Amino acid sequence: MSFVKKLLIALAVYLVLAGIFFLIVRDDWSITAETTDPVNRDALTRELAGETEARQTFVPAVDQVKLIVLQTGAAGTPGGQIEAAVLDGDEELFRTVVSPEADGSLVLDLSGQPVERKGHRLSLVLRHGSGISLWYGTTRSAGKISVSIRTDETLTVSDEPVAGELVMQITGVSFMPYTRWYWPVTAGIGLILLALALHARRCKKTGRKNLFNTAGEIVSRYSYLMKTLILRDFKVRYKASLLGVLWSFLNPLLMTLVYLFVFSTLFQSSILHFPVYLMSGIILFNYFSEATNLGMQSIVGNAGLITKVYLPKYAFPISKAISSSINLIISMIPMLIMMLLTGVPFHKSLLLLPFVLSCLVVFCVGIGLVLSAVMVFFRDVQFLWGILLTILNFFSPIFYPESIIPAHFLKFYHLNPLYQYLYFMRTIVISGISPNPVSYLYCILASVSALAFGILVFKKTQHRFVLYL
Amino acid sequence: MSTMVKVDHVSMNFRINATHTTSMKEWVIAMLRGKLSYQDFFALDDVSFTIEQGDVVGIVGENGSGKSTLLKVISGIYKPTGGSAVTFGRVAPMLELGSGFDYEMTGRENIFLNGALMGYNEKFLKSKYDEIVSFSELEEFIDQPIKTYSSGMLMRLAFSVATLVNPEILIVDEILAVGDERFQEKSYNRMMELMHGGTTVLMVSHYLNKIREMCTKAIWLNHGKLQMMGDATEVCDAYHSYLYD
Repeated sequence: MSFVKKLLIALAVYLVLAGIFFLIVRDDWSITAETTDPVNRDALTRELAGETEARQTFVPAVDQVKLIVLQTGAAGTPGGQIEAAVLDGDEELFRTVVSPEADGSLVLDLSGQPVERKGHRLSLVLRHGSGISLWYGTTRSAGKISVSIRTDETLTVSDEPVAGELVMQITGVSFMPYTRWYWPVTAGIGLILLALALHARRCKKTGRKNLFNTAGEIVSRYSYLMKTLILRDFKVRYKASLLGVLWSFLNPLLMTLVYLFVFSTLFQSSILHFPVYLMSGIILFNYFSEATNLGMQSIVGNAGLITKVYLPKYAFPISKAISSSINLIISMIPMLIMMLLTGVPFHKSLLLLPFVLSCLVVFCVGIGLVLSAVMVFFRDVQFLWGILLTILNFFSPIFYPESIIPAHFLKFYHLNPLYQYLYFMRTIVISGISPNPVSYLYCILASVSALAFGILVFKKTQHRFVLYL
Repeated sequence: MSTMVKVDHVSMNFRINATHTTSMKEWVIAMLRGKLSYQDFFALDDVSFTIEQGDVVGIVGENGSGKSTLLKVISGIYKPTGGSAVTFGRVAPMLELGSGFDYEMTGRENIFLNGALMGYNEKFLKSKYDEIVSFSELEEFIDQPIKTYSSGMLMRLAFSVATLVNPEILIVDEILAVGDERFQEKSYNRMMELMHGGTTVLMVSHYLNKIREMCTKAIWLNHGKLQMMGDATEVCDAYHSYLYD
């Protein structure tokens, strides 16, 4: 096949993929609606009457605040009213007089004149009430567990500070400019790829060395070896087991049932679609744990071969991560079944599954390369890694909701790459929308840097493996 | 005649870790004490030679003289600490038969696995498959997992895979006595066939008679140094008189 023909086919594939991707993410990348999570109802403020006023600061994280819902202690006692205002410093942005609903909630509808002060510290002031008291709290809960929270906001009643913050739910929307940049960025990436292809082509003609050509040669020379190793791992896995590949279905299903049984009373009420939430977490973490463990053992375990035959050594850790991924892909089927059973709607965002799964596989390849290399020199790594996996298991939201993590830890918590993959996966599966582009970048960055680090460590050390095996 | 193997001032220095640390704890302690000392041990010391196409080269020397290390350097398993070893052609190392076998898999699967490990592609192995099976005489058992094979059957299979793919450079550590007497003769004939067919062979053996009989050239290694290289008979005679006189 001629070079031009290949190039045209590649271009067509690229454009089709970019188009499909655009259709999936277009709506989700232009506008998002968000609702904050209120604190628990721990106590009631003094009755707000006459000049007694409650003042709560807050910082909206959305472009337009459209709705604020407070909770009064007046449930069941109809009547009464209160004046509510939103201030930015001294500037009044919104003012209304409202009465509590029958269930006690106090609904401030700002959709007529939405507050557009993202990132500003605003004050919500409630005064001239007819003896209404409001719920406030210092804890958040996830199911049956409550944890104390630290808040940066201040609540004052008649200028006296109150420990805690009002039970307040803010709903709003954010506009994202991403779609405007979509086609320019797509075209830019396409041009870069084209330039690389042309460069590789020229290098091939002049016989100069080039990273892509070398990589291509290695791939074509050892692709059959890789294929054989991957198939071997997969075949040997279920050899002599009665149910065979069926275990790939049963395993995540049964594990989910066990976790569901243990945690259902603890967390279920606070997590939407808890069974699918759990199952996606279990599947991803199991894959991570299995692929990295097998990858870690792959060089030491094939010592007999590596010391007897010349082989590209990276074939072993890479093939382990990929052969485990067959299992990962198969376990998507029980997850889809679980979605059907528990009534989670299927959205077009599910088409993004291959993206997040391949990011995870690449990430595991990188980690496997590092671990397998270090393992040759220090066998202690296998025990350390076991402990680290347990720590990671608890530091990732696998069976608990993210909301039980104290707010000031969140920045640190989000650095965990597994968190990013889990978040991405659940956004497309449970929320049914595409995550914003930052999430994509996180996923790609984590995978690529793990892979680059893995290749670097492996390449630097591989010629010394035979001396230590 | 083209050069198939070029060994150029190759040295292999195994830095023996005097404290021999294999765990992180020991390593850290040794490092903190400043006791990470190494001892130099040259398994090969400045060895140079070239092998032309069709040469059958025997390597002789006492135990520990670096014969196996030299084969591993040429196979690419060891990276020499000094100098370079280059091969021009596909190398089939038979340092230990059957090292690539997976005992859970069938004979058929193992033929392809072993072939893949030697760097051959699927198409080539498929074209050679029937020949390999019939040479190994394992037709009946080829779809059985090889954990059910006897050791003789395993060796027959391994030998067949290694030699029937027509390697350009064959590297053999100790001449192979495979299977029963009849198969031994068959495998010996196969080796001779390969050698006459232009395959370059490097073999290590302690049986000087075999070397005299099969090889055209010989290399004598003495404590990692190249003591002598030349006509097989001459080198064997010299080595023999060194050993017994």
